[in-house]
Order: sequence, then C-alpha cells, then structure tokens
Amino acid sequence: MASGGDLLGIGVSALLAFQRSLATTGHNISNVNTDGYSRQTVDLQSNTPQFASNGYVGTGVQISSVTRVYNEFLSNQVLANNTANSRLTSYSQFTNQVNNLLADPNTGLSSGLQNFFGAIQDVANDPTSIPARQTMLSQGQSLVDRFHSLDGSLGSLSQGITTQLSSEITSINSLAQSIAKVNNDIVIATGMAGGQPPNDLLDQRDNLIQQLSQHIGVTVTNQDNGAKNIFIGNGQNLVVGNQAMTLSVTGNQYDPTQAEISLTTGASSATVTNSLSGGTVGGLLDFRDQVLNPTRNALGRIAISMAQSLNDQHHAGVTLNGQLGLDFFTPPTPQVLTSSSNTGGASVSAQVSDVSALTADDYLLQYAGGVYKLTNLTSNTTQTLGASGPFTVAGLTITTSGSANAGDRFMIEPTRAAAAGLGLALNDPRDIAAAAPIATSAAGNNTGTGSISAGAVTDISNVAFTTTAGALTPPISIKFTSPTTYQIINTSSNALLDTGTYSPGTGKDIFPSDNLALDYGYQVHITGSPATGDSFAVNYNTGGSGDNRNALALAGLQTKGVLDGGATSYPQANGQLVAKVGTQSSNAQNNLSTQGMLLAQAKSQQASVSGVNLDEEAANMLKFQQAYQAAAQVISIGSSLFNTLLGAVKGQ
Amino acid sequence: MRIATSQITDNAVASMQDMQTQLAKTQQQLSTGKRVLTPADDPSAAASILSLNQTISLTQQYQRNSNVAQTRLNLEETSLSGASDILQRVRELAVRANNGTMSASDRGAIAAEVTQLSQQLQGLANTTDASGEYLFAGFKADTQPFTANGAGVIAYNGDQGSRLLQIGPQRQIEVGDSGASVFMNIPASGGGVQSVFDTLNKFVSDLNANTASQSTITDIDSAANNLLTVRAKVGARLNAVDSQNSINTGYLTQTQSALSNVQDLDYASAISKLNQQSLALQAAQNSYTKIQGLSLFNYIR
Repeated sequence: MASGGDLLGIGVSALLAFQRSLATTGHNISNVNTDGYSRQTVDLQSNTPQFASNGYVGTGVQISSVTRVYNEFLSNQVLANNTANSRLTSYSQFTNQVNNLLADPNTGLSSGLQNFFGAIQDVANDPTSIPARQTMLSQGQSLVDRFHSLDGSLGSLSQGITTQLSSEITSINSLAQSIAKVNNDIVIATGMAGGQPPNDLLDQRDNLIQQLSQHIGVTVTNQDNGAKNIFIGNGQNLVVGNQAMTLSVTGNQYDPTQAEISLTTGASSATVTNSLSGGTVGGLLDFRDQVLNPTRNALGRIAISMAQSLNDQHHAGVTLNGQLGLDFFTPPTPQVLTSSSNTGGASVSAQVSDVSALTADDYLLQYAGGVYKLTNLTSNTTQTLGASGPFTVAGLTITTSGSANAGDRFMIEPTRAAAAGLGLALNDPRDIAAAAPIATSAAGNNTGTGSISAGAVTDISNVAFTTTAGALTPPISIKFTSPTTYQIINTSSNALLDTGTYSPGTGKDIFPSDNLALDYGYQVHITGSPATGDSFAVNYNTGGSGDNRNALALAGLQTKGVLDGGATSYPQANGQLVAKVGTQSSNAQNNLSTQGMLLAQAKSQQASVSGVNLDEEAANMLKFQQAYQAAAQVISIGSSLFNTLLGAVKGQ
Repeated sequence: MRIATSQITDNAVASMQDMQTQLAKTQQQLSTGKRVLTPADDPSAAASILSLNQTISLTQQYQRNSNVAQTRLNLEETSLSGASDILQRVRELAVRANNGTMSASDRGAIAAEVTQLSQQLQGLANTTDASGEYLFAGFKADTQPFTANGAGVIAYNGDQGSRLLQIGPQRQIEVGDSGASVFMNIPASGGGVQSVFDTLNKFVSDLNANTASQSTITDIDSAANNLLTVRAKVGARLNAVDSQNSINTGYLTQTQSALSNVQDLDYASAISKLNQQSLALQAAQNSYTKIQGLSLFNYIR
C-alpha cells in the first residue's frame, strides 16, 4: 500500500517528465524551420519498483534519455545525392553558357564563316573590284574577331573557374575546421554526459558535413569515441578526429593559369586534382576537362585548318600586282608547355604539318630511357618517337633541341591557343590573290581543232614559279610535229625539253612529260585534234586582273573537306562542335533534373523520419499537457491524503 | 507516410519553380517562333539548322552570282549583236562595191563609211562593263584589248582566258569570250587566219585603190559566222544560267521549308501547352495557400 509520500514522489517524477517532454516539444516546434534539425523525443522509463511485502510497487517515471530521431542510412543517401546534385548544378550551369555562346548568331562562328566566304564569291564575281576585295578583307577581319571573342569568352570562363575553385577551397577548409571542432566538442560532451548523445551538436555536425558534400565529394567513417572522419578523393584525409587538413589552389606544372588543387598534410603537400570528384569542385573540374578545354581545342582546330588551307590556296594565286599570294591569315602555332619540374635543358616546339591529320587532342611528351614518348591524353595511347626530333606525328612536326633529362615532360596543346593566335595577315586589297599564276593559249594560226585547258597549279613551290618572281621559268610551248607527236619547248631559249605522243581521241595531261617526267608544278590538258605545226603556250599570267580562278578555288574551301583526312569541312566541324556541346548541355540538364528529383526524394525520406510535423507536435503538446495536469492532480490527491491523515491525528 | 511540416513548403516551392521554368521556356518559344532555342534543346536539330542555314546562304550567293553572270552575258550579247549589224552593213557595201559600174569616187565614199564602221567595231570590241573591265580582253581585264599601231593595224593585247562564275554547287559557267576567239582568229580566204579588222582594212585599201575586192565578202561572211557561233554560245549560257537559277530557287524554297520544319514552332501545340502549364501553376499556387492554412494549432484554444 502506497503512502502519501510515495504518491507525492510519483507525482513529482511525472510532473518533471512531462515538463521535460513539453519542453522538448517546444524545442521541436521552435526548430521546425532549422536546416538539418532532427526532431527529438524524450524516452520515458518507469522507475525501479520498490518491494513491499505483497509485491513490487511502482515508484513513478523517469527520463532515460533525450534522443534525436535519426537514420544514418537516409542521411548518407542525402549526402550522396547532395554531392551529385551540386556537381551537376555547376557543370550544367557552365556547360549551358558555352552552349549559348556557340549557338548565338551574334557570337557563333557559323554566320561569320558564311559572310567571309560570301565575300570571296563576290571577289570571284568581280575580281578587279577594289571595294569587293576590301569587303573580303573586312569580312576576314570580322571572322578573326569572332574567333577571338569566342575564345576570349571561353578564356574568361576558364579564369572564372579558377576564381570559383579558390572560393570553394576556402569554404571547404573552413567547413573542415568547423567539423574538426564539433568532433572535439562531441567527444567531450559525450564523455561529460556519461554517454548521453549531444543531439544538437550531432545535428550541427551532420549539417556541416551536408554542406561540405555540396562543395566536394566526401566519404564519412565513424570513430568509436563519437568523432567522424572525412575523406576526399581516393581516401585522402580531410578531417581526422579534431584535426583538419588544408586544401589549396596551385598552378599547373605546365600552365600556371590552369588551377590545380593540393592537399597539405603536416609538412607534405600533394596535388590531388585528378582524384577529386563530386560537389561543386568536381563539377567545375569536370566542366573544364570535358567541355571547356575540348571546346577551345575544337575551335582552335577550325582556326588552324582554316588559316592553313586558305593560306595554301592563297599562295597558289596571283595578286593584282602580279605577285604570288602571301599568307592571308597569320597561322597560329601549336602551344608547347614545359613542365616547371624539368631538370634538363631541352626545348620543344611544334608546327602543323598536315591539317587533315590534326586532332583536337592534347599530348604529353615525356623523355625517358633515352627516347621521347608521346601520349595522347584523350585516347591514352603512347607511342615511342625516338631519341631526338624532328618527329612527324598526328599532323604535327615536333622539333626538339638541347638535351633532356630522364623524366622531363612537355605538354603539347596543338590547338588550344590557336583561335586566339589567328590573325589577318593582309591589309592591302590588291594583295588578294584572285588570279591563277599561269595563262595558256593556242597559237592564232592553229589549223587543227585542238584546245588547251586553262591549267591548274599542283605545286606552287616548284622552281618554275619560285626562280623569278612574276614569271614562269621556263615558259613552255607545246608544238605538234604531227597529229600524234609533240615537242615541249622552252619558249625563251627555244631549247627542246622533251617530246611526247598524243592520241586525238582521249586528249592528254602534258605533265609529267613522257620521257623525262618533267614537272613544273602545274598541269595542262590538251583535247581535240591538233594539226601538224599547231602550238600551244603556257606563260605566267601577267596582267590577268580579270582572272578569278584562284578566288573560285578559295571560295570552294567553304564546302571542301580539309579536316579528318579530308572528310570534314570547317562549317561541318563547327556544326559538330555545336552539336557536341549541345548534347553535353542537354545531358547535363536532364541528369540534373533527374538528380534533383533523387535528391528531393532522399530529403523527403529523411524528413519523413527526422523532420518536425507541427500537427504531431500539437497533439503531443496536448497529450503531455493532459498528463502534466493529471500528475498535478496526483500531487493534489497525495497532499489531501496527507492532510486527512494529519486531521485525523490532530482530532485525537 | 509521415511528413515534415517544412516539406510541404519546400515541395510546393520547388514544384512551382519547376512549372515557372517550363512556362518561361514555352513563352520564349512563342515569342521567338522557334522550337529550338539553344543547341541543348535538340542537339541533332541544331547541327541540321546550321547546315541548312549554310545551304540557304550558299544558294542565295549562287543566285547573286547568276545575276552577275546574266548581266555580263547580256552585255556581251549586246556588243556582239552590234558587231553583227556592222558586219551586215559592211557586207552590203562590199556587194555594192564589187559592182563593175562603181566609180572611184563612189568607192571612195564607201571606203569612208567602212572606215567609220571599222572604228565603231573597234569600239565595240573594247566594250567595258559597269566597273570598267574590258569585256573582250580575256583575263587582262584592265588592258585595252584592241589598239591600232601607227600603220592602223589592230593588235590584240588580251589573252585567251575566259572567266568562270560559280552558279551552282557543281556548276561553273563561262561569262565571257576572249577577243582572240571573237575578233582575231578567223579563218581567211587566202589560208591561215586573219582578224576582222584586217579584213576591213584590206577592204578599205582595195576601195581606195578602186579595185574590186572579191575575197572581202568571203572573209566578212566567215567573220560574221564566227560571231554567230559565239552568240549562239552566249545564248546557250544564258539559258543555262536561267535554268540553274530556277533550280536554285526551287532548292532554296525546299531548304527553307526543311529549315522551318526543323526549327520553327508548332504554334497550336505550343499555345495549348502554355495553357496547360499556366493552369497547373495556378492550381499549385491555389492548393498551397489552402494547405498552408491547415494546422491543429488553429483549434487549440
């Protein structure tokens, strides 16, 4: 049988328990909008009963613990989805910028190319017109400007990435330090409370880790003392117990403008860029490696191929002043970067030797075992080149000089800086080589029906063109000694150079000549039936201002395959680039929206376990209030029982 | 399932934002009339759009080139028809001069007219186009092709080149003939070749010597025939330009409609999409404000 004192004790224990429960409900309500808060519950337990003669008698209630409602698995799911979501957010945001840049009619290449080649066609229509030639130069300049502004925008994205990486690293360092500090607090608090969980500190740490995971992908492990260890990349320590390591942004060993990330552990420091993934940092690095640099390379490849093929064709023409054409564009040169850790004195340079074999890939040249080895960084294939250059590989001629030490490395980026390096070389409209260098003619008194083609240049570097500027050396006559035989004669010395045979039915390419295989760097074709004594002449195209043959050839480059072994024209290469970045951007957006849904699901699952529901708290509040009121009644009854007893004793 | 109170707001806001993004995109499509706003909307369509746009711009360029070709060929035809008229008149005079009854002074008068006609012909042979290029100089467009030396003999200073213009993807057409082929290398009655100017000069000197000039009629006929051959070629080229032009126009129309298919917006479906999306957004906003007001706390007094 319980005494009045017991009843008071029981009532007080209940009052305290429900007061605490109400306080926890209030705490839950007040944190309904706190990020990372897990609702808390008061775990009640009945007190140890007292043994009375007739059995165990209850002694009220006690609070065994205040715990948070938390599921580690769900929390880890949110963590993983958070990392993936932030990665995709930054990746997709930047990719989208490149996508818009390439597609915009005002900044994209496509209309610039169209206008430039349209201007070449207009020169072909009227080759003596100085205004038409001036327009071609202006359109050439504005095409160059487009390359520059596109590459400039991509370059500023690259700088933006470096800046953003720095601020990301600052945030990561500060979060890592906070986590280390909270780890420390948790270990101490847990110890002081005899193993009771410091709920709000745990929430705070989880929230910090969630924040960290938005910046960078992390792995979390639990220590026995309650601390959590954080790893990044392939298991590099970021936080161990109460110790936080420091990340820093450094310059690439080849190109200081490309940011790398180093991890400092104690006294040693190592570059960890390539092992990092996830989070905003992972998104930025992925964007730089998968979108930005390949886009700059592809753009540069178009610039190089355009400059080179247009220059080659321009060299094969004659200007209004009767001279062979010079460079139309300033051709960009491939970029070779020397590692800052090289110990040897070798220097390496590269030239484009074959545009059709040129790739948009980057190459690593390493010196080891007495030979240079070249690795394509896109396909990751390595080939051994030899002890010293020049090497002709991948459309490049790589020249080495000086002596390299084992382990020395060079980064060859054939097209990265090419769009920025493109320039317009001509500034005088008369210097546009619209004409072809040779002019053919049939003698006026020919009696046969033979005719000679206008001729086509096959090799402008032939001595026939280079010996004397503005003249053909030698000028040639083709004189028929019978309807089926002819002589090739040097017109200026009258010397017989070679003879040949002709069949009237099929016509004939004259060069290389029949017996001596003479080749003067051009081809002429004779058709029809020349009569004995007929002759044809090939001379330098002097005064041929109305000739547009080379302008037609230049205009034809718009649709001619010059890249990928002759399969791709530059407008096509541009189309491929636009489609590739478009695909990357659209994939990123799709992945982002999928990832966004996964994240929302993971968060809502976590919230459905740990989140505060106000209706639930309201109901709990009523429940605890009623229990509290009942407990107060218990005390009141206990008190009146005691008073009854006191009154009975007083009355005696 | 249990739900956290904050989730109600978070989810509602997220879904409203999502709907607003879609609505903004549909609105942008409607205001530009384009289905593909950036390559990311449809990467393969974006590549087709670029290549179709290039085809359109090239075809328009070919049309411009065709117009240039037509202008030049028409100018050539006009000059050649003038030259034919002159030769026709000279032939009449030659027939008359060969009449035995003609006196020396009659022949002198004819000689004077033929000299005039010869100069006129020379003028036609030196025709320039609007930008001052000599039409019959071959490639040497800046060199006057026909000049007389001290003895009055006309020499050809041009070359045998003839300009080609690109009027279709695979179609180049000659837009001129060198003066050599039109006026110079004409088979002569006495064998070899002779220029039409030499023929006229010889006629004049025969007339001045008061002799009949039998070979003149043959030579003028052969020069006139040569002109006719060249004019026939010019006519054929003009036809070719015409037909290429109509091919280009048809191709342009086709390409533009292909571009429209790939790039342009289907307004009917876009507008109904816009209506659906704005309806969904309104519903979301409405339901959120209703749910937001529900709380057990409202009933605790």
